[in-house]
Amino acid sequence: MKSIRFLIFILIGISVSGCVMLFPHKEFKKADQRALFTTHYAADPDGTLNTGLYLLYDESCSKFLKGGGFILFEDGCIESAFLSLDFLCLKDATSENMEKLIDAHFLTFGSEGIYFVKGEKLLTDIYYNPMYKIWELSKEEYIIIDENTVETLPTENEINRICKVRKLYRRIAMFSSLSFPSKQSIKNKKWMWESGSEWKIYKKSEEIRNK
Amino acid sequence: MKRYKLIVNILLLFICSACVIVKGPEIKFDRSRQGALFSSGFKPNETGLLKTSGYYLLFDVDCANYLEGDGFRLWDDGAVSNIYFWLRGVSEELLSGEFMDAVIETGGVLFKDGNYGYSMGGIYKVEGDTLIIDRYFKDDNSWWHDYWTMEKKKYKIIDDGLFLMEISPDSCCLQDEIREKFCGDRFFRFVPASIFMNERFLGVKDAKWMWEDEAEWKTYRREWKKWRKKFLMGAYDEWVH
Repeated sequence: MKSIRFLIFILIGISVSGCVMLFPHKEFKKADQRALFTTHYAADPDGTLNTGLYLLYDESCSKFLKGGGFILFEDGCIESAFLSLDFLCLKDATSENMEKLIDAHFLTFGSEGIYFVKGEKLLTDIYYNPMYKIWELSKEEYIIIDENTVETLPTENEINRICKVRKLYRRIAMFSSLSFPSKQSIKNKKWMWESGSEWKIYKKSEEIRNK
Repeated sequence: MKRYKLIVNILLLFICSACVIVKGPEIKFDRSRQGALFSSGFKPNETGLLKTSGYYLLFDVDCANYLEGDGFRLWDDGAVSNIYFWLRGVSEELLSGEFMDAVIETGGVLFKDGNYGYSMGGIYKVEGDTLIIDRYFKDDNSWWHDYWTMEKKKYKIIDDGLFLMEISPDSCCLQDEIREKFCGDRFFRFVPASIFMNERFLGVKDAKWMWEDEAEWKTYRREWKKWRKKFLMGAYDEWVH
């Protein structure tokens, strides 16, 4: 009788394990996090970069291309974006059209993180939560070309050797980060804060704001 | 005791159900929409209007650039292999046949059919100056078993088969309207290449209902089984030809 019960528990455990993980864990250490929120966090104190939506850009054609991008928010949050349209002409990148692309799911948003500007570089830490089980950290570095354009550092691989295409990200001037509020779910995580007391203050202020 | 056994059996059934498909995939499209079927005598490109020794890639005609996105290869027997081209903004001059092979070897192309269980390849036919492709997919959204879906696309053949212009989206929806509004007509340009995923990976050729004649399907399956055995025995270089 006991062995049957034991077997049932094991089977239930196996069945459930595929769907639910009670304690999602982090695949990174505190030391891996290059930036953490504080009450007065300043991602870009000198105002080197404009906040807003940045998408992959082909400067020779003046077109935004299919692929990943991001939104930089004033408070230091970053949210990944993806344009799945074949291309978007610069002249068509108006605020109204961007709303249309969002409605038709051609422009989608995903993981969140934190960014900061250091010298001539934009550094981003984006946190992924695949299947709601494990938190993974992806670090990226971009060279700042001007206040509206950044470029990824080319990785040394065979494709980049044979195909010398610049990977530029340009800000869509008409689409302000103010028109698209951050989800801020990453900011609610205690492990995204420099200190527990500051996180508590933030949580309280959010509770008051949402009342 | 009996109750426990019953619970154990139910749980075992649940666990197994995710791994074993008891029933074969269902066909969830109107069979009368099928434009072509495979047969030994089926040669849709007999006139040589289309180019078969390379890939058709999404192309921006205004900028003369190849774009990231879907592409395909047409086989002489009517089969269609689907790919995804990862590079973006590659100029027309840069993408020669030699370059395309190098791109494939370095992982710049994803062979979509069979590998990921969704895209199963397709079949094409030519009507006048129009190429008609039926693409088949095996969806696994169902809890219990897979099902087949089909998508029909038409392309106008331009410039001796160097370009194809997509002329009819299969379904009309907000997405099609938006894409047409911002990107205009979709063009595909031919790029010569010599590396292709083996046609035997095309799931569409394994389906009995894709063949004109059952005997020919059986012959194909026998040859396919021989090839698979050889492949599984270690002839991995057979994945391309």
